[in-house]
Amino acid sequence: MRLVLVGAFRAIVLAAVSAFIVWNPIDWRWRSPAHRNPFAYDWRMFHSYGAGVCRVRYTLEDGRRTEPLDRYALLGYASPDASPPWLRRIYLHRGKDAARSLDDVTRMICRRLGERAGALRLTADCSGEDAWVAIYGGRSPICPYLDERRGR
Amino acid sequence: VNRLARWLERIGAAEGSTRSAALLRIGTPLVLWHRHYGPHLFFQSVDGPVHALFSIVFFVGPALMLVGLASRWAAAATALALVSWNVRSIALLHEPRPIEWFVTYLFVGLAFTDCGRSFSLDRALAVRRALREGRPPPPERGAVWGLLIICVHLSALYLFVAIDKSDLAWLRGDRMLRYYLHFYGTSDGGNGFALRTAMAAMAIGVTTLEYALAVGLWLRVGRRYLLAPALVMNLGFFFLIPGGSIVWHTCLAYLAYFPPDEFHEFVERQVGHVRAPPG
Repeated sequence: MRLVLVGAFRAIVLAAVSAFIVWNPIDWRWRSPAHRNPFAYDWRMFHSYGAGVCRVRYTLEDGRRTEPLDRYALLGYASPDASPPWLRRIYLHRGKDAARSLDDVTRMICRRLGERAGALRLTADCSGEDAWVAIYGGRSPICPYLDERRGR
Repeated sequence: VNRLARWLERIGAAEGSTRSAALLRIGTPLVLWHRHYGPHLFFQSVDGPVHALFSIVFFVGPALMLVGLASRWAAAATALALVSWNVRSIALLHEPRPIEWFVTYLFVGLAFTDCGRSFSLDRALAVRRALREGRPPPPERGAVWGLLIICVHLSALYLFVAIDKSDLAWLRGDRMLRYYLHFYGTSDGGNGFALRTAMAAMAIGVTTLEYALAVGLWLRVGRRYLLAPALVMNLGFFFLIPGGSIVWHTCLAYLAYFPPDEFHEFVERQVGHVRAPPG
């Protein structure tokens, strides 16, 4: 009889703990936060590393010619390695990974370009939690757009 | 009813070698402390009697496990403390804590094993007592069904992270490329065909391996062929991105999948206790 009770205890504990283990990711993955069980936790790992990092391409366009802009040289750095991390690796927003945001860096470039700022185009896509999102398409000058947005 | 009773009796009587559980018992506290000790040090940030109590259990429980004194009770107390801490974190701080829960399940599992019957101070004392009384040393056997909890958790984790990755954005390497740019690259790169292809290949490889591990670790043939790639993947997480302690917890948890008696025999062979072949 004792062995039956021990067996029942083991089976019940294993079933209950397994059910909680399996239920939690199902709950987290497929139910909205408002409907999740109170003990649900995010079981995904390394999910947000690097979120917001951008791929950028600065160009100068005068209507006839398009030439790439070396942002490092423009801001006075001999090479990418000699530049600060926020210029080498640009993030959409300021945060623990970045001292300056994409818009901050672009405004610095606009200021340094002076009269040529109107020719600056920016193509940038930045990483969300899952996929890459196009932020600027490079079809129109970026500096006036940023000025206008700041003025708004 | 009789069949159910017999089935339960079999489960109740099930025993196995306690060596794999013992190795888990030794490794788990070390990794736990390495990763989580900072906030629970008395001189650093213990901020009230509840935290102080937690802190005492957090350090004393795993210490007892490490040397193998009252290991099962120590594992149970530590598991209880970690569960309460995690629940508190969710309820009060709304913090997602996947790594803490992973660690907690290791302790929960160990609490349901006789993990102190091998490689422990308790074992050494029992052997000494037996020799003094002229008896053979007690067998290294006991309850090991708690290891199943660790296996269920790791398999569920592999399955659901693989499901989570089974979308186009992941499989074409978007997030891998993000990791690459975040840790190694610059914002000027990331558009080359070779890099995109390598990122997609890695993403597909990791997802496939995680699906395979979710099921394969339960099978002998799966363990034979999947363990090496799994260890390589974990080392990749550790050395290429800051995977941290979860990597070592995972590697330890693989021990739980080996049939305890086979693992016992494996250790016996390594120390030279080779049985004569039958006949």
